[in-house]
Amino acid sequence: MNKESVGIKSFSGQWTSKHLRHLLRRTLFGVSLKDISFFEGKSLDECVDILLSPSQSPEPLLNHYHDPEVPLGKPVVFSSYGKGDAEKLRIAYLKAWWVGVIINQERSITEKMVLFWHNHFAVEFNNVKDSRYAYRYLDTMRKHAMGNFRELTREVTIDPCMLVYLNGNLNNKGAPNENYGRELQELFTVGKGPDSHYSEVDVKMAAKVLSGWKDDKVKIESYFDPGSHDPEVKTFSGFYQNHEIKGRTGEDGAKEKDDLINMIFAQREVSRFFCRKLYRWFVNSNIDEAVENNVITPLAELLVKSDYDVKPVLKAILTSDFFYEPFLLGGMIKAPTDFFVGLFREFGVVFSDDKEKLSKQYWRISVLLGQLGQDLGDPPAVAGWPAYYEYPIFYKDWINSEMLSIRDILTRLLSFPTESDKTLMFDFSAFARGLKHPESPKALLAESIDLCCGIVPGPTQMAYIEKVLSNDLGNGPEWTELWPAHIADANNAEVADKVKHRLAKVFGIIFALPEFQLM
Amino acid sequence: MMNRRSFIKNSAAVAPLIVAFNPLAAAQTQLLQNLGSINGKRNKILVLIQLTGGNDGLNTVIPLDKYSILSEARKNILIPDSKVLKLNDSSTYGFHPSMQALQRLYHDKLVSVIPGVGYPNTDLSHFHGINIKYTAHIEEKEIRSGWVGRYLDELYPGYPKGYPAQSNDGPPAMRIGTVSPKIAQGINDQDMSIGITNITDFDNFYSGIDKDPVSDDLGGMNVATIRAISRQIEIYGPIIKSYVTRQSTLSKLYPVPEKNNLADQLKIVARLIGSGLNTPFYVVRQLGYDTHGEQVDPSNTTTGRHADLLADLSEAIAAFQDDLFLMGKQDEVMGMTFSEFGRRIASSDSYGTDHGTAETVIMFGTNVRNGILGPGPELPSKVTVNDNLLIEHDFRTLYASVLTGWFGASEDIIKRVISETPGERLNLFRS
Repeated sequence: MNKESVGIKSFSGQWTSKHLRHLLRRTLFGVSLKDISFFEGKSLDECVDILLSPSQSPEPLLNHYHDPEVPLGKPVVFSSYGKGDAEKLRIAYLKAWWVGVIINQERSITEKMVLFWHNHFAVEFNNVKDSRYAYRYLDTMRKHAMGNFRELTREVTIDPCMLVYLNGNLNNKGAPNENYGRELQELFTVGKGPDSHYSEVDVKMAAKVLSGWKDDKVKIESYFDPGSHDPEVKTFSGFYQNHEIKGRTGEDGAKEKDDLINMIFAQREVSRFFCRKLYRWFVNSNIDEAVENNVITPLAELLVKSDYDVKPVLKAILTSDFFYEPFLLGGMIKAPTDFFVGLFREFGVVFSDDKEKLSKQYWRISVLLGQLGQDLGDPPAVAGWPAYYEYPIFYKDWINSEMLSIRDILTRLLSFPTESDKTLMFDFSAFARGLKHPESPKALLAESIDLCCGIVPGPTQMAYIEKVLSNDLGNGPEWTELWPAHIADANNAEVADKVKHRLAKVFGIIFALPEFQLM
Repeated sequence: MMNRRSFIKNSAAVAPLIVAFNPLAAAQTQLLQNLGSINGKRNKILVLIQLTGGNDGLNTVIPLDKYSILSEARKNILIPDSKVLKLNDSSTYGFHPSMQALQRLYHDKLVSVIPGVGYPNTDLSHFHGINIKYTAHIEEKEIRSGWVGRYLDELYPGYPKGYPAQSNDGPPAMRIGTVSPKIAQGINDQDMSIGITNITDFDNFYSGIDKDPVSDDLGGMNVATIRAISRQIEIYGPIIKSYVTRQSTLSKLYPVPEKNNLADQLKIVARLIGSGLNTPFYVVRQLGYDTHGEQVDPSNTTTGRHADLLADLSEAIAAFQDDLFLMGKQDEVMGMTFSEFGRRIASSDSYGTDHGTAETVIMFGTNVRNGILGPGPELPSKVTVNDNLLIEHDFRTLYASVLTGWFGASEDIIKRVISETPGERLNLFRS
């Protein structure tokens, strides 16, 4: 590819369904047939405008799981702190709730951005041990999903969940706790890029500036305690132009936080660091010199120009030429949430109408997501998931030998549920009915593969799958007879069962393909 | 005047830890190594335990000779003198009270402790810190390969092509429980390890047909990568399974499953080793050492998060070592801990410790030179909030010494594997 020619020029090629699927995969979690038909026929700009509209706020977590203290059907996350193991249970169901929100997402980038922010401003719910704080934190991420990076940083800095997670609530005058002061710079704002040279002094000064912020478990919010605040003047290093933050006393001390955020966001490096993260989240992990100069630099300038509003930058990315570069299409390895939650959106899994059973289903998905390596709410560390920072493997971190085999085991489990466990299962027959030509093995395969695989498998592989679908490699009835028989009489259980098994076999193969792991 | 350090170095009771690089000895190890490979048997195994988050060494193996300084610097997390577990051959060091299992092992002459391990100008970022320990490089930050991976490049030239060999069918390295593969990444970006979370991971694995050529875009490159991993699973999955089913767990010391995650991991490692799987490196990890706050229970500093972690660590190691004895494999295995860094000397007001420099390395096995190796870093008499432990031993020297002393790696190999290491070697093993 000719990288020199790629800037943030708008996409000028022909807008095809292939490009549309790429856009949807990168902005939603999985793409359903309905999503495709909804967007088909719309221009790139129209599609992006729809995707960049915020979602409705979801209904908060309700007790449909036998919370020991909250009445059935009532909201959980505004109640008093749970006794004993209650918070553990609540956090488990809050994660399940989150999975439910993602599965039921609107046609908006919102959920992808919520997870982006969670990976950026990472916290671990099981470490914070307070479901109310965790919910409040998620709510903040969702409110600012496409909002202003600086303002979100300001809120996160005194967010009760973050205060507990990075010990900001234990950071006091005379006895600073450096944890948040360090990560605020290293992971959240200026980063550790080649042009970031903040020092240990800056870590200590930031800790002093932020001393005195506490969390209130009764009110579920944070507050400033002037008595714990260090009022002395804070002098930063040359990286911050030896900036001095004037010491403030009394309630006024709370304002030092704003001085700090403003000082940090006056550094150009913040916008570059942030745009690299967006690029790795939406486009590609590899940032070479050409990408740095032709993509990151102009995006960072745009971010600064928009006063740190993220939306214009997202729009620039999603409508750009570089986003649709043929070389990059299908070049990302699906994160577990793309892979697994995506499956449920793509393949019409049977969800229960019963609220208790439904919350159990969501809970099960969230647990399995954890086994796949992406426990929503509990990333492995404050740096988020290694797939977005671990040089040079990046996304490949999702599919080392153990994770690849767990993906395989899980999809088989759901395709062929055991008699004892049918909590989750695909309904492939219903899925096939939504396709354009389910009666033709070739057409059924082509449409399905286009929907769920990042790139199309080679001809030998396709021919093999087609043989399995056509007649089970010569061991079963012809699909071209089986399917029409099923359509003619859906109540014929024997035929329905054969259809179900044939499709389960076919999709069992597809889900295990390398091409299926890509998006 | 003889200072304390030179006294310890000269004392007959403690053999010197540092040995100068001796070309004659190097030639001998080279000879031994050649003999080893002629027999086609590599019966030396290293089990690495990653203590994720940065372990507080000063509260793990406590320098009692510096107790008065510590009681000033870290009053609110200090383990009471009377509660520190005493060691029969050391008056200067004792174990954290929750490490009774490790204390027993120590008294059985199976444990050695090296305080003060690190490198100059320690990077206090978790991310950079662990990367440095994985790669054993501090100058070249973007290096792609890990030190274990580079050594395995030497032992398994050309891997994965031509492997598994008939006489040597185990994977070069195994990771249990989602450790980053970076430590085992070879120079050609080849992951030299197979990772599993459970022994049933690879059952009935299917990955499709890989006859079609891949496209030369990013998607095609990813397909090639995934195919390569799949191939490793398809090759090594059945091998691992067939070995592990030959060996059941023998030790009764393991906690019940899912109570101590590290013990669960080491239990699998023991079964693989016991079954005779020919794999020289295992990497496991324990999470949770980033104890900025509430490292200890304020009402009782001998309990709390750090105490729970150390109890798990020490019980896991003791059960594993017991298992090895019962399997008759004790002389083939050594273990070693590592952490991205240690923690600050002074504690914070929040009953915890911030990121620090030197870590305290624990090694175990029948071949390690039992004892506290080295006097440990001196402390400033008046510790301020910013003071950090001095580095006594460079971790690259330690790793090089393990490779030469345990595996018999030649100095020539060390030059390639741990290129930044200084010439000295540590005397870590029983002669």
